[in-house]
Amino acid sequence: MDGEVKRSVRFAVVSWPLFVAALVVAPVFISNDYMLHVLVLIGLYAILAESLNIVVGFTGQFSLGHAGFWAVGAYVSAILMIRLGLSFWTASVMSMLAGYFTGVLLGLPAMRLKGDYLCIVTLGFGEIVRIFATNLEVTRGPMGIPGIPTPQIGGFSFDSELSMYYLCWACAVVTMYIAARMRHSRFGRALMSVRDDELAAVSLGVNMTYYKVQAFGIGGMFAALAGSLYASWTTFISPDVFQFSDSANIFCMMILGGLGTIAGPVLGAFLLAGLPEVLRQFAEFRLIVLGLLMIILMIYRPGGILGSYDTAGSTRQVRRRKIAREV
Amino acid sequence: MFFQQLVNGLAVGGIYALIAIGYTMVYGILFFVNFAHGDIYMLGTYCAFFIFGFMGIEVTGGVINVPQFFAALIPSMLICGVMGIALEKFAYRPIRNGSRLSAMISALGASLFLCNTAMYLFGSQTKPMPKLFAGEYITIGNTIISYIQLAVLVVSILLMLALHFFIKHTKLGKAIRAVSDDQRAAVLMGIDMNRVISATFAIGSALAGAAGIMVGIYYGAVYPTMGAVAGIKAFTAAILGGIGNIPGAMLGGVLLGIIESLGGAYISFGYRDAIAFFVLIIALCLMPTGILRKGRT
Amino acid sequence: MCKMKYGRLILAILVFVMAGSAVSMEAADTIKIGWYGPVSGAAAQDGQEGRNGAEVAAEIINASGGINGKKLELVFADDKSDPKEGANIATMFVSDKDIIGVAGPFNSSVILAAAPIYNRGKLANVGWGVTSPVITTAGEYIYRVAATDALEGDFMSKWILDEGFKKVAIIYENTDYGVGVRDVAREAIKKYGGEVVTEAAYVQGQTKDFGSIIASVKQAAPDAVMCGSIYNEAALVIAQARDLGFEAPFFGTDGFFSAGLLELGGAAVEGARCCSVFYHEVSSPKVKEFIAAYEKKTGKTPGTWAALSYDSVMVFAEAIKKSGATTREEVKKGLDDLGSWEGATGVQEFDENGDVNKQLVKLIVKDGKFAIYQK
Repeated sequence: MDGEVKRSVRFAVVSWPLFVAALVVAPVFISNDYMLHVLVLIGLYAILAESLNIVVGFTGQFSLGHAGFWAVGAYVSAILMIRLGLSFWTASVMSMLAGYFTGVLLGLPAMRLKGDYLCIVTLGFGEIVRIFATNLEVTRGPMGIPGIPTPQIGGFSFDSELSMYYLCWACAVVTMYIAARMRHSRFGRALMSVRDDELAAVSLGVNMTYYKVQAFGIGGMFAALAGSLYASWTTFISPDVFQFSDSANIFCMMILGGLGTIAGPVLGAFLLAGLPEVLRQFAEFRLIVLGLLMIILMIYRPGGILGSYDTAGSTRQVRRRKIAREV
Repeated sequence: MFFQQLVNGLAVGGIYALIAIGYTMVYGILFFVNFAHGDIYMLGTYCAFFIFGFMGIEVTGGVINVPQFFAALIPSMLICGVMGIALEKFAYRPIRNGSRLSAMISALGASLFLCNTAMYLFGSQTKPMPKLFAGEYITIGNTIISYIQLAVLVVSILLMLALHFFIKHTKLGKAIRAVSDDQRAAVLMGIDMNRVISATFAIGSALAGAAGIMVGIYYGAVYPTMGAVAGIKAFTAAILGGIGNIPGAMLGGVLLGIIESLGGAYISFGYRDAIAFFVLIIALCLMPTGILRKGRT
Repeated sequence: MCKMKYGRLILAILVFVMAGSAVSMEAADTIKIGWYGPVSGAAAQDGQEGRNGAEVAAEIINASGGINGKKLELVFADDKSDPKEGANIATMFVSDKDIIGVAGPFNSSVILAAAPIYNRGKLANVGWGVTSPVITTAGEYIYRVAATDALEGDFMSKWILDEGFKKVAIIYENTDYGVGVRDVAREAIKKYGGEVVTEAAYVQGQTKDFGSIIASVKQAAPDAVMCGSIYNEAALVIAQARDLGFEAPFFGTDGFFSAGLLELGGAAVEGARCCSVFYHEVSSPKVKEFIAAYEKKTGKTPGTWAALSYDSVMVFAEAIKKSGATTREEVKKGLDDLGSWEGATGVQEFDENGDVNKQLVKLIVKDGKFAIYQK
């Protein structure tokens, strides 16, 4: 264990700067706005998948409603900017707070529910958010909110794809970094103990309710940040941006890349948000192929591309234990 | 109007119940949610669509009689059953010992694959289905009950009774119950797991197929994405009733149908689906394992 | 082990970047126009119909020698009715320097997400299915050949009241389209002396059970129903209404006008009334040319969306022919200066906001066909 931590710390010293440097120089090789646009989208999905990873990968709580937090962030930020004239920065902080509290609220039923029950409650949450966005006056219903201001700093406006690329990926790297630090902190270990064995965690004095609720809160907070960025990037949001299929998509990104890892969700975002764009000319087949790939990957690498088998194993153990308990 | 809404809710609820049974049966044995179940239901409707075509029935404005309905129902259920077995064999069997998460992803993948293949093969447009009893109805007081609503209810109840008999009184049914109660003990008693799992998928899928045909005829339409929404609704129903419990799925389905109808009419149609989910969340917070808990030995 | 992880991640990035940067070069003797719409997803059948219409337009143009001697090439993209896809596609089209104009999409929310990108990229976009009144102010590069909900909702409301129906119920899909129709009809019905007795919304692409909506609408006992629906759901609404013994007449906008309504609704949609910018039995040679080519290609009678999508491509051909434009700026100017021209949906002209004013035709379903309404 000690050796592994040391190795991973030594590796982190090399890998983080390398990753950040690659992101910083990438636009030099990409002059094409379309490529940058797709990369921004991938960056947003990276934030979403990474934040979902805190809930599912670290804490072991199913969540199929992550697009709901995304929508909360986007709408709160857009409404604050348009109605109250707040700046992007204030609005995004407020939207993160809103995401956090929504997460805490959703975390409350999680105290009592597990597995698939939680899965359907979170799915319901995502749908409820979308239905409210469609029916409320303040969100302008299905008409959506156009003309959302772009972020400004001093005299500089983030209105080009290039500037949004840097802003979004800066946020994505911060999210990744916080998740990475969290994983090796006391807090993160507590989350993982809840994931691996609730009973043992509680008997060792881990306040399970607190950690579950916090995991949802923090996950919701970063997803809301992605929402806020999305709103100011495209300058238009409507309820059909945040569908159940997006929640499922984010979930798949996290699993495909590697559950519980830091780089995994980001790789997943590259694959599931990037590949469909590369395969655009095969539009008719792309979802058929994606479906097949998901099945094949789960057969041959159930822990995800970057995942170790321990994460897959731990849920398996939990299930075995659960079966044993039911007997 | 209350009774009118109740009748509508019952008809829709019967359909939800039939689909929910498949979710609940698979969950009872394998502990995972078969997201591709809704797509099997969609394929069931397409089976019937092509069988009607084969029988030479005009789909636009065509009217079928009861024997023709059953002539389409039975082969479609068989085809769906076989597809359920195939789905399990290719997508789930290789990862049966993996985590529940990988099974879930595999199921989502299978769902994407089936839905988009159907879209590619059959086209994405909504296609018409023939009618059973051309728009006839009976009136009781102010409440109108159309024959097709009655037919949907009757067929749903018959199928559920048949399933109940099968599970309670046949050898295979007992084996299914044994596996869902205690896998290890069942295997030790010499029950063939693979056979039981295949049978579970076959029965669940056949019932979903039956639901698909009835929905197709009831609404007069078939399209490739119809499985997604029905799947989520039926899954909700299965959870509401207590997943893993077959009578629970039936109860959950009917309840969900009624809640939706009444909630839409008396609160707001715009919030109809939200009301259903709110009720679910509240019900689950009060009864975390659904209304009927999974029976134990 | 960790090292391997990041190694793979970086490799994945590199592969992705390289795959994307291999942009193909096209010969300059073609004119490239982008086209987008929901070829898959909830509105796929409308998108498919639109795509067929656009393909027919390209075939007709190229068969008659192209535009100023250059061949027209359409670049198709599928937006799945998803605004995120709309923005992706917009940047893709803007980045492809050969594309000098864009036709599409079908959904108002998709064009609203894409509009800022087209305005920034100075690339003209002519929407074919987009009817929301909000689009009027979406920017100077955004045009449309579809009539706005404001125009059609008002037209239909007047017609309902002219028929002597005072109590009207509104059933609408909960989308920008349906809500647009509802808002306009709500005001207009009052203005013409009627009364809206009840309103009911449903979720487009999800709700198929209209039983409970019909029951509560029936309770309000309206004389007529105004329907803000697209034909596939409109057919279900009307058929289920008749199944439940609700016999009031149904009125709809041009969303009704499609062979799909007749096919899905059968005998139930008999007597349903709607308006349209396009009617296939108009005797104009331009309309006849379109219908003949469309029927030859697909074996079906074209509906509103096919005709509008056809016009959204044709308008570029007309503008480029007239102005000799070769760049994006010139194409935009060409559209502004085009003046009045005739397409499959009649004689039309862009106003200063890029909207069109169109002649609406009153239609009724009679003997399983759409026919011009006669009192």
